[in-house]
Amino acid sequence: MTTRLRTLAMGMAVLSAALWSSAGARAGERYAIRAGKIVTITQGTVDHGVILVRNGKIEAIGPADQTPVPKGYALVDVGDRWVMPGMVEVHAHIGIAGGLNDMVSQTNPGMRIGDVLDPEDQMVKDALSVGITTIHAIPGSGTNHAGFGVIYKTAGATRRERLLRPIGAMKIAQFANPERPAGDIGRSLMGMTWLLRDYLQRARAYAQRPASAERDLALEQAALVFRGEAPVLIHTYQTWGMAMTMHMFQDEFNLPAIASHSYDSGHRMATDAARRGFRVDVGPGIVDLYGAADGRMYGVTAQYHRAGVDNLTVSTDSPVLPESALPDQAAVSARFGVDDETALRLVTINAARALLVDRRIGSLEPGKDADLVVKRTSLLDPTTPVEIVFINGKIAHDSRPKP
Amino acid sequence: MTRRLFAALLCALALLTPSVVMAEEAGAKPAGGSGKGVVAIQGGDLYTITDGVIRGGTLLIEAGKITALGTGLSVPEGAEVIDARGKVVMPGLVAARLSGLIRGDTKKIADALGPYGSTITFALASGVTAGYVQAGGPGDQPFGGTNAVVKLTEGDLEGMLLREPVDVNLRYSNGDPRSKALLRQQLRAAKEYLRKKAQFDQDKAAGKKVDPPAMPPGGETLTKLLTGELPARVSAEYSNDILSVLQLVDDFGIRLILEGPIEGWTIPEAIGRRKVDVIMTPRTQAERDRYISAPTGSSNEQAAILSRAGVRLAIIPPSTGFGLWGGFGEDLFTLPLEAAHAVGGGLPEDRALEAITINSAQILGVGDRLGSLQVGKDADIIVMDGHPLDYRTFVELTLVNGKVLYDKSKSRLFSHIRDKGDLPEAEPAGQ
Repeated sequence: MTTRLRTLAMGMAVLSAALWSSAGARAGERYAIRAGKIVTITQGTVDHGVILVRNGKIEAIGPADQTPVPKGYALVDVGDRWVMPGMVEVHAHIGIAGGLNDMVSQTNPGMRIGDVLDPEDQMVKDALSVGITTIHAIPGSGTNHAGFGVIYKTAGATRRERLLRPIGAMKIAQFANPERPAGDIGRSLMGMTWLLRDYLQRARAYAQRPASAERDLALEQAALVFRGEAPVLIHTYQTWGMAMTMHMFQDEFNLPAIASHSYDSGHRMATDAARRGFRVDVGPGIVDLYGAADGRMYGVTAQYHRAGVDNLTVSTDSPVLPESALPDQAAVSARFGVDDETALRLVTINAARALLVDRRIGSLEPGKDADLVVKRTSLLDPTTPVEIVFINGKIAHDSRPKP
Repeated sequence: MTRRLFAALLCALALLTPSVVMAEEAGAKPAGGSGKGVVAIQGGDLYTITDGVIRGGTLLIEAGKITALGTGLSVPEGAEVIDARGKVVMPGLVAARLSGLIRGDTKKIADALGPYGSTITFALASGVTAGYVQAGGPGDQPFGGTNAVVKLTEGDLEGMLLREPVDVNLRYSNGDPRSKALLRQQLRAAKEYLRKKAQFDQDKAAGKKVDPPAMPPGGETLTKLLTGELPARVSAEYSNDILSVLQLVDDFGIRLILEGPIEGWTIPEAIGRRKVDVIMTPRTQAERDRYISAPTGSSNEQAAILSRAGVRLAIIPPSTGFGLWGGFGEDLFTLPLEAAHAVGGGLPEDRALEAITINSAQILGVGDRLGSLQVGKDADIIVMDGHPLDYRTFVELTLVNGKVLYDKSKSRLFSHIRDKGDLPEAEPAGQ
C-alpha cells in the first residue's frame, strides 16, 4: 500500500470511528455517583444520595451515608448538583437520513423510519447536550400512515447500543396535512377515514390470524400495536379532531394510542380525554389563543392537566422547534400552571409510558437504564447548563471544565 | 359559575395582585405638598439595572417621569399607590428588534404608527414597553429602509415615536461582493464629499466665491455614518462575514451594531476591541463547519464570551414577534427566557438583565430615556410576580409614561393564570 493510500485508509478509519463515537467510558464500567439531590421522578427525591451504575443499568439508589461505594466503582462526586433521568422526546423527525414521507399510497404500513438512522445528525448532538437521552423519531404526516417510528438513544457506539426499540409507534396522520394526491381516494376527510378504518381492520384481522397463516411483512408491524407491544401515535388537532381520534382509536379499535399535537382548541376535549384515560402529547404549539372561544391565552398542557389527563407529555416536533427546546416546552407548561413536579414528568416518565418503554427508561429506579443528567438545578431551569449526561451507564456528554 | 362564587374569586384575586389604592387607604405617611398626579410604587424589590437592587423600595412618578426612588421615601398625600410588596419592579423591557407592529411598506415609520393592535397588547402583557421597528431594508442595495424606536403607548399616538431613524441598515456580506464593493465606493465618495464640504465652508467663511460640492449618490445617509451621527446595523452570522464587516470600522471609523452573530464567540477580541455593539440570540444553533480547522458553529456561551470581551450586548429571542401557533417560549412573549438561556451559557444574571433593558436602550440611542430605574427617566416600568429570569414569572403591571397600560388581574389574556398550580376550570367544548 502506498503511503497516500495508507493515510487515506487511516483517515477513513478515524472518520468511521468518529461516526459512532460516544465520549463514553469502556463497556462494563461501574460508577458511583454522589450528588446533592437525586430526583427519581417515581420514587421521590433523595438528598445527599448515591447512585450505583453497573453494566449500563442503575444498580442502587440511596442516601450517601447508607450506601457504601463498593470496590471497583469509579466515584463521580458532583457536589451539590442534582441527578435526574434523561429526558424523552415523544414526537420528533430528527436523527434520520431524510425520507420523511414516501408518498406511495395513503397508508404505508411497511415503512419504518428506523431503517435510515443517522447518528451524525447535529440536532441529536444538541439534544444530548441539553439532557435528552431518548428520542422517538417518526415518519411524516404527508400520508395517513407514513410508517413506523423508531426509539433510539442520543448516544451509543453502535446501532445496537443506540436502538431502544427498532419499531416505535405506528404513525397515523388523521388529517391536517395528508390531504394531498397520493393514491386514488383520500383527499377528503371521509375518504381518509375509510382508508384508515380499512387498514386497521385488516391489521386487526392479521394480528388475530392463526399462526399457520401466510405472513404479510407489512402487517407484521401493525400486529405489534394490536398486541399492545407498540403504541399508535396520531397527528391530530382541534376539538372535533380530538373527538374523532379518540373515537376511532379507542372506541373502534381500542389501541394504546397517543393523540399528538392536540392543540389548536384540542384542549376543549380535555375532560373527555381524562375520562377515557387517553394519552395526550402536546407540541410544538403549547399555548392557545385563537383556538379558545373566550379570548384568553391558555397553556394547552395546563388545561389537559387541570382536566385530569394523567398520560400527558410535551414534544417539539423537531425540527419544527429545535429538539433542544424540549425542556423549554416543559418550562412553559409550568409557566401556565402545571406544577414543577408534573412538568418534569411530562418529559420523563410520562413520555416513557406513552411509548411503552417505561420498564427501561423515564425514571431513576434500580434495574432501569442508567440514563442520567447532572445539572445544578431542575431540568426546567434554563439558567443552569447540563453538565454531565450518562447514557446506558456511560458518560456521553461532559461539559465540566477540564482539570 | 354562580355570581357569588365569581365575586368571591374576584376578591381572592385582588388580594394576590398588586392593587391600586389611594395613599390614605394604604396608610402611607403624607408628605409635604399635594401628591395629586403622583404615582408611588411601594414596597417592591427595585431592580434598577444601573444601581443594583433596592429591596423593599419605593419609586415615585410624576408627569410620566421617575422622580425619586429608594427606601424610606415618604409618599405625598393624594398619590396613587401601587402596592408592590413581594414583587419585582424593573424597567420595561426594550426589544432590540420588534416585528409585527406596522404593516405595509412605508418610507417613514411615523406615518405607519397606530396606538392599538394585538402586537401592542401582547407586548405590554409581556413587559415589553419599547422596541426597534424596521420598515423595508437594503434589498439588493448596499443600504435602505428606515427604522425607529417606538414606545408602546397604547391608546395614545402622542409620544409613541421616540426616535427615527436609529441606525442605517446595511447589507454587507461576502456572499454579495458586488454590493460590498458598491458600498465601499459610495462611502469613499461620501468621505470625499465631507472633505470638500469642509473646504467649501472654510472658503465661504473667508468670503471666497465658491460652488458647494455635489452630493454623491447615497451621500445624505452615508455621511451620517461617517460623522458618527448614526451607527450602521448589519446582520452577519459567521466569522468570515463578521470580520469583513469589522473592516468598515477600521477603514471608515463608523459605529457598528452587529446583529445575529453565530460565530462571534470565536473572535470576541476582534469585536470587543472595536467597541462594536452586538444584538444576538443565545439559543441560535448552527453546526460546525468540518472543513474549517478553526472553531466554527454556534456556542451557547457566546453571550458570556462576548460580554467578557467588553462587548455591549442586547438579547433578542429567535422570533421577534408574538407568535400564537407554536414557538411560544421562543418569541417576545418570553423575552426574559432568552436572557435566562444566556445565563445558562455563563452570562452573569445582572448582565443578562442589562441585555434586555439598558443595553438595548443605549444601542438604540435612547439610553437617556429608557432601560433603567433612575430619576429623570421615563416611567416605563413593570411589576412582576417573581424573579425576572424565572420561567414561571408573569408580568402583573406594565406602566408606560407612568400610566398603567396593562394589569394582569383585569386582562382577558392572562388573568386566569393564578398562583402556581391553581388552574382555571377546564374550558368546555361546544362554546
